[in-house]
Amino acid sequence: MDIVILLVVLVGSLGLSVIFGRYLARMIVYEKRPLEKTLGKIENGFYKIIGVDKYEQMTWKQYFLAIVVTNVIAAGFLMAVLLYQNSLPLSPRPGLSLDLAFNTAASFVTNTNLQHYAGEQQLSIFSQMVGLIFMMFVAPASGIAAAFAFIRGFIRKEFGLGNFYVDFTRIIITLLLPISFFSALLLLFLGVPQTLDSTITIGTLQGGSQTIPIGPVAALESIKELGSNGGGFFYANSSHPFENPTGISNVFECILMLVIPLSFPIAYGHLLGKGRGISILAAMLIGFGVMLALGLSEQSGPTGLETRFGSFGSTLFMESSVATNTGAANAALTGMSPNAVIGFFLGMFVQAIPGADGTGMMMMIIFVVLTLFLVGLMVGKTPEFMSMKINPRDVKLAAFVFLIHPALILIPSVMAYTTENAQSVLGEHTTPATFTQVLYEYSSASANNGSDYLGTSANTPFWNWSTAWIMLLGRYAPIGLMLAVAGSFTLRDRKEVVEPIKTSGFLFVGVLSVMVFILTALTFFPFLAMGPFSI
Amino acid sequence: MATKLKQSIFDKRMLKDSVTKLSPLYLSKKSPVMFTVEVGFFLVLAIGFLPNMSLEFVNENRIFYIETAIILIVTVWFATFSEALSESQARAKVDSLKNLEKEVLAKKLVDGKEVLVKSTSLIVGDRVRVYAGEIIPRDGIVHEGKAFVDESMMTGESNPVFKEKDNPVLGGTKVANDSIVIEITSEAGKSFLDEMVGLIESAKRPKTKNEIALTILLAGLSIIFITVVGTMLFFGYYLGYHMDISVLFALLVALMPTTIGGLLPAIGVAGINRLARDNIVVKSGKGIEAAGDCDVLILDKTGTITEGARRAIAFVPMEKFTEHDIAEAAYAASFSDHTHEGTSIIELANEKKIEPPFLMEIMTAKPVEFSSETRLSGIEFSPKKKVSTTQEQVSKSSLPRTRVSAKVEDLEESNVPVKILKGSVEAILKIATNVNEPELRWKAQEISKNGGTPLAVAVNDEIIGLISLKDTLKKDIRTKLEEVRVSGITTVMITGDNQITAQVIAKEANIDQIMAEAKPTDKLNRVVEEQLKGHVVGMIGDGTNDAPALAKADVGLAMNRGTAAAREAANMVDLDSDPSKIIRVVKLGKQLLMTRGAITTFSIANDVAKYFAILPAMFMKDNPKMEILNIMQLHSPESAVLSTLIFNAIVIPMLIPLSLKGVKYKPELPEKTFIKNMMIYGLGGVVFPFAGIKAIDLLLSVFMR
Amino acid sequence: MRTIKSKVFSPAIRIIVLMIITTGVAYPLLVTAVGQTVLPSQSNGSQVILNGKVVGSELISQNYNSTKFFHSRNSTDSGSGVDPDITPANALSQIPGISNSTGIPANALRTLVELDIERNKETNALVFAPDYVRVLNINVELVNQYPEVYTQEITPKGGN
Repeated sequence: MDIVILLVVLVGSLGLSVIFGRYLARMIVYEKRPLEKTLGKIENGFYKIIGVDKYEQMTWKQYFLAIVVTNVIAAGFLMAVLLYQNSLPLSPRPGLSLDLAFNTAASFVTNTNLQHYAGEQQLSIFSQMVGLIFMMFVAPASGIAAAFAFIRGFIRKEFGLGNFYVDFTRIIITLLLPISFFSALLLLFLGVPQTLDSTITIGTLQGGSQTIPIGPVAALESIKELGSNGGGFFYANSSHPFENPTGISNVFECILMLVIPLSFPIAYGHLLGKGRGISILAAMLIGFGVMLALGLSEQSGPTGLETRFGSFGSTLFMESSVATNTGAANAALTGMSPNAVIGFFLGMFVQAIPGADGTGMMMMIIFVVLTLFLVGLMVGKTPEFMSMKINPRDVKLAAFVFLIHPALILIPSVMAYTTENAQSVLGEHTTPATFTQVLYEYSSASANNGSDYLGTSANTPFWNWSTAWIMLLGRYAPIGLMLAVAGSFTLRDRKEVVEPIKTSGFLFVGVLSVMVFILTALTFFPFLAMGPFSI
Repeated sequence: MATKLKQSIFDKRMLKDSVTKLSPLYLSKKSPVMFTVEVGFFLVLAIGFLPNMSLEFVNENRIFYIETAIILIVTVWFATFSEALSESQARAKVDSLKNLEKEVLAKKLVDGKEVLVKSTSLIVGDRVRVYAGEIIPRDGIVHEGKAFVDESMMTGESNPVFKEKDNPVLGGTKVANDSIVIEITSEAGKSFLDEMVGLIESAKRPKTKNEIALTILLAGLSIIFITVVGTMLFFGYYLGYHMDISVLFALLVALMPTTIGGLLPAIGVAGINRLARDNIVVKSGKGIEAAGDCDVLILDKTGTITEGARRAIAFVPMEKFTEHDIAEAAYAASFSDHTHEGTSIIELANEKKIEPPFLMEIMTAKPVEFSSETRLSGIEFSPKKKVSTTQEQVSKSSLPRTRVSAKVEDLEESNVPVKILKGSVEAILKIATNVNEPELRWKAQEISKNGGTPLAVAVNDEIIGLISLKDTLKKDIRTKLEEVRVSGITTVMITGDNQITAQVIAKEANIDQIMAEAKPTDKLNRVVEEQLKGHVVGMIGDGTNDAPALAKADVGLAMNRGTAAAREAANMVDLDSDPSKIIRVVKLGKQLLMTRGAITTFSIANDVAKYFAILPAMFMKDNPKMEILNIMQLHSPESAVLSTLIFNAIVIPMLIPLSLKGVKYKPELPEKTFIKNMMIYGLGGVVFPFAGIKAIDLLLSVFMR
Repeated sequence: MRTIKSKVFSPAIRIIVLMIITTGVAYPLLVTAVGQTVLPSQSNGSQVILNGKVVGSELISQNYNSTKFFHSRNSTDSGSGVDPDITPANALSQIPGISNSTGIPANALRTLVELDIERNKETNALVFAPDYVRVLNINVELVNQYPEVYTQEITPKGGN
């Protein structure tokens, strides 16, 4: 039975990614899509209102600036909504504190969705809908757009990185929105509610009365999973029966989380060589397989798990969610086995197996560049990627992307302890279990994952501000650096010669997987030993 | 190797250098990794010596700190030693090369008299006389006289070029006949050996692109490990472990890529040094690195692929004659021709055991010298005086009379002077008309098709047949080029020959592409063309004509006997002037990159074992759960740390021979090389330290009981 | 400088306003409209009706203090705190107690449990979830089948 679930999730998400991979490829190189005429007309209307020339190309700096400016404006809007939701319509609630509003805005704009609040209690329907659902489109669309530009950087000389506003519009209108809409309807059918009311009050069987929080859950849930967002309508996230009512919805949400991240290597294959794409996909799946194997090696729960999912359904969902940096949870982290937690850490440390929408693919390419450089010299040639020489600047940028992550996890974790903020939340006596929670919080923030142990208990100024800044740095610094890499590659002479080391085939998949694992393990092994190993 | 190494070890300057390089100021600039190790040394030493330091993070005894400090500084010294060693080897090589720099003697005209001087002492405006067979000492213009000059080694044009007053001549070319007076027009080249010295001295040595990239990556890894170890101190403290600063530093040093960090400079210098051992002077490190990346080699036919001297390989008679006839005539025509070609014709005849019966006449005949006007050479003799009939009978009966000997005899008897001449088909046709011309032309073309050059031979007005001359392939060139091809390098042959001849030679020599009937300027065009396609181009050259192409090519190897302009434009100079050495340069370039890659991979792979050695030592006392990590079962926490550090240190000198010699390179598919090296240095890099650290620990445990 | 700034900010602001309207307002409203017309039950929280009266949401657990009902998990035991289901083992272990308080034969209760498991299996297309018992459903079934036993339990009490 479990194997059927696993197969349905894998075959389903891979099957859909074959379809969406081709679609993404068409979007990246502006090829004809199904319904092109209609879509084109709608998009042209948007461009007219936005005031952009759809043929205008951006440099990597302009593209990055457009991402940042657009995201800052969106985050500013969300923050204002959260601060002043008391005076906004639809079941107003008191405005959030400045630090919590900042944290939440940073969290959602960076595609992290770390939640230091309880949605059903602290947010109005307006905030959930106009604030969060809106942002759940903006964040993945920005990440996907960045990956589009990034991939274009390698396609051919002077292809151009594209125009952010055009990509952003097309991604939301012709990719995320239609899938979300139909997924929302399917979720609705499976039992996920959708109403503008914030609660229903009913008499119970024994004659008492029960007030149940409710809202436009289906609309949020579909983009939450599809867009690797992960922020729950409810505090309990996908373990709440209104977000994830049955085993079928559980499987469907797993597929939704995996589909876009897995579509990217397929799109990449269409554009830059089938073998290359399949090899990246294989490396991603190997990493994901290791996470799953870790999770399934030990029984989780039953405490903290939902009965309708059991250990298998919970582990599969949780590993898929963390692997895609969605961060949705259908079980309490405390209910997961230490091995499963090690799997989560692995996913957040690597960020590319398969990683979040768009950024996972970019991160994997960074690993490819690092791997090529580290071992590629051994064949006696300057390492090349896509038949373009890897120069010191690329290595510098790639190494920096790789370096940022441990720095953003480890240094703030130390600060949390030295400033006693970890102790004040988790107790004076530090144990491997509480250390794991602190490490997890910053790993999740830096990887823009969003799952966490601390939840509302971390709603203090220190945790709100520190994780907010880590999320912002963990999002925009790598994207900026990666776009810089792509920007320099797009200007580079492409050769008509064979790469010294092919980035496809069993050998390369093997070497890439081992290098990803070794680089990650060398960086984080001691902390896993001090944390989850010792629980 | 061993004795050489011993000599260098006792080289005082080298030892001094290795100690001077320990200066933190130097290391902080040159090797961030080693600098960090040295900082660790000072820190641990201070902890060891400062009395009664009872800090939170100092838990071990004093001897342990001093031991650790010693191992750390020895680690740094091993690194500086390897650099100093390779520098001193290279320096020694430069000195020996300086003696090797070749000079020609020139006959300088001073007040109308010839004075022998060294070519390097010539200045612009000097005049020198150059005789047939001598080498023109430097670029200049013809001041007086006319001559054919053999420029094949410079331009690839196999036919001698006619030069008269005011024509430019190239240094390094050879006067074929007559003598000319040349006015020198170019300066002596700057001594490129001085440029190489600059590359060896660490202070001036610029880093190549790959070195920079690697240094950045190593620095990045070091920063990550510093972050890891630094934050471990805090986490360990809060989790209740007894953290010790020196153990943490030991972990840091063990994790940092000290092996490659320490050996990187030595590997670079060793590359220069290994080329120097082949008498190739490197003028920029970039050139060697580009050599490894080189995927198109542009090779001159003459001198590189072929010997550059044509030899007779066959005699082709006209229909009326036999091979014997043409061989006899050719023999006679070449008798007084002492050029390489002429001798080869006699040799071929000897090989075929053919000797003309009228040898006496030939020996006494008047030679017809090759002249620029007639373009013919051979012999001429008048009717002989009667000799004894018996002797004649003997010769007549012992040798079957050929048509040619009969013809010669007839001519002699009718008192007509006999002229036996050879020359190009066109030149011979001008003087000899008695021939079936279509047949002659067809046969000449057949020779061309097979890669040969036809020479016609005539006795007076009748053409007897053709000699097929062919440039022979250099020894081993086929195998060398096959290796090049296997490594994925495309070879392009440039030649002045026609398409047909060029194709034949290309096929014989394993050449991929040809540029036939090429002018010297075509070389530059081809280099640019290939580079535009993204190829890394290597080429050789020696003429002034080659200079722009040499400068443009990624790897330009100039011949030392070439012109100063060529030597200046190139990034390497071969003192032996052996053009086929470009293949060796490529091989060395690849080895250099491979060595860097292999030691980097090895260095990083080593870290796996080091974690398993040190982490249990750090944590097991306080956390029994860490026991699972203790797969190495080392004697004690102290011995675990010390043996890891000792291993880390001695790996550097152990790898010095590899760094200096380079990783073995075998021409094969890159994929194969990759798998092989991945197994040796990647997998081996993971496994070896487990064994090494365990072995050192067993040794230490004897003393630490 | 001004032109560069306005070139960056103006499209950014416009695109954000457009997306707020499209994704933050139009999209959820459209889903709501479709849901409320086509799937009103699910849209409003899968409410369970007993004798014409809403007695709860099928998906949200309730507190039972009567020993005659199957009890949900303690709210802090599950991931959501409102886990509407219990494992078959849990359900079976509650049977003797319920049988004692209600007089319903244990066999009959076991049959009900098995039926509920079967029903849930169908909901999950047989394979997509482990076996579980949906507490509210089985309790409603109990009330339906043995109304006389439960008359007291289901009368509304004043206040709570």
